[in-house]
Amino acid sequence: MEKLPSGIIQHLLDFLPIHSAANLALSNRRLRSLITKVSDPFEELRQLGNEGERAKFLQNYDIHHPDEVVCPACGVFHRRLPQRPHRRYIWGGVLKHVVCKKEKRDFPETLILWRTYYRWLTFHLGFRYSPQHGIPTHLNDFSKMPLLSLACDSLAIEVDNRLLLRHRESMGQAGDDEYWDDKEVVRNLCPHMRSSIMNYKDFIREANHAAKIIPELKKSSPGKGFTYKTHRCSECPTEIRIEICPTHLFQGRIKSQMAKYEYILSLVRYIDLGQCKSPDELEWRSVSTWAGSPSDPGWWLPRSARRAEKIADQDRVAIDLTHMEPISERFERSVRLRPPLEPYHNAPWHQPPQYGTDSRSDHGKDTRDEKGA
Amino acid sequence: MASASTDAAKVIKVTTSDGIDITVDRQVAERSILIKNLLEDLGGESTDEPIPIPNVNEAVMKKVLEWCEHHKADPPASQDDDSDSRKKSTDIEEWDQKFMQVDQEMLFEIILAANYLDIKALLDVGCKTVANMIKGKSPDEIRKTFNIQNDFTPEEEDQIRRENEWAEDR
Repeated sequence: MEKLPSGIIQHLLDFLPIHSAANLALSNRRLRSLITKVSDPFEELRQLGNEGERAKFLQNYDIHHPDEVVCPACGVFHRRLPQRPHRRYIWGGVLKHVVCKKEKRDFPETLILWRTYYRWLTFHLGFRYSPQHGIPTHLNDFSKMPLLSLACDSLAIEVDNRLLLRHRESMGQAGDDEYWDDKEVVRNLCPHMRSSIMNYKDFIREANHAAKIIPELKKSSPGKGFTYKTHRCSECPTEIRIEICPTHLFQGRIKSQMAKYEYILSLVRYIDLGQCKSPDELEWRSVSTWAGSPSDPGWWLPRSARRAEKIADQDRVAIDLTHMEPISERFERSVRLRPPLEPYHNAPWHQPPQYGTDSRSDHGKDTRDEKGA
Repeated sequence: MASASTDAAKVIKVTTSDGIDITVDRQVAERSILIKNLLEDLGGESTDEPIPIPNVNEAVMKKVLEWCEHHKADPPASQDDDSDSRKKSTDIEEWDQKFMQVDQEMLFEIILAANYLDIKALLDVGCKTVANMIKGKSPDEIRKTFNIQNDFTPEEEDQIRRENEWAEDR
């Protein structure tokens, strides 16, 4: 890369947004001198109208500003909230306290978690605008419970500076006559359910097939559960798992109606929401851009959804993370490794105590001396 | 006989840097402006003599010709495509995306060959592929992706950071 002739580097710059050109310039001396000779991206970042680009560039430095967050609207650092925002700050429309006055855009795109539409600001504020940078426990309040025999629970955690979300919709299964047939749950799983994974009916058939294995499971491996299948969307960072788990081992929320069943069938959705620093991130846009189609106008779709044919090319966002380690693996490994989350109080994150080898040995020596004395 | 000579005129030979002769349709080879101009300079005479391409080896040449073969019927690039505007689209056709799924060494060899052979559309596809690899990455991630040596000293890095944090609103 660094050995490419200057003419090609110059041609490459035609395809790079300003912040990427600036980042490339900062990777190496030769590249820096080549790029700044052609056009100075750092100068361009300062110009009016390039605030969004500037914000993306300044995200390189946000690790040095734990008490501030880069505003995508005006491209400067804003102070984080002095303390954890109360629930109502996130849910109740008091967003104007933290949303920059220069922000003119609306953020209509939504993620659907059990009939509730969550906008980008929910995740941005909960994850990024907290006093403890990158700790998303504030988000773990997706407590809405369905009225049906379903139960749902969610957990958001930070892994490698990205927000991973697990949303689980579960119901009791005996494996004999009552199967899952809720189309609404299935179509909310992913905006690309039909185009990238499979149509609703086939998916329901597959979930029911998993449930039909329960009687055999009771005989062959009583007390054990299994993951029937994992689907990975190739257009957005979503994974959907069909799981069967014995009720007594199930760690999610259950209802009293579910407790009478021996097994729980869950549709588990893992979503990689990215860094939640900007509403323009591909991860967010791809999981939240819903489209209706002429055959299925989708009365259930969020208001932000548009007819597929009306979506402009630049809004057709897809990001394929199927080459990366599965989201579910990253999520579950991290959940196993980290201490339990504390969602309902302001206790600081528990850091492991720091023991220096020398000081510990000195301390031990002193104690022995004291005992000897 | 006439038919045979016409057929002969439709194919040409190129010799790669490692001395391998490759026979290729003239229409395909003429996607390269360099080869096209060379052939025109020869005045449409019989081109039995192979055309030397000293900067491109066999493996890369075959790859380049594979692309030319697939795009032989494409219309020539219009003047608008050459207009100088930053943030050109980095959308890449599906076939080209698969074509560019090669290791980095080959990717840069293809870009260099496209530049040398003057195949602008292929150069664009190569640069778009690299641009897509750069987008959204920090300087450190770019270095890791392309194995670029960081020759800035820690003091220089600190200075760079200070120079570029001018937008703070403390």
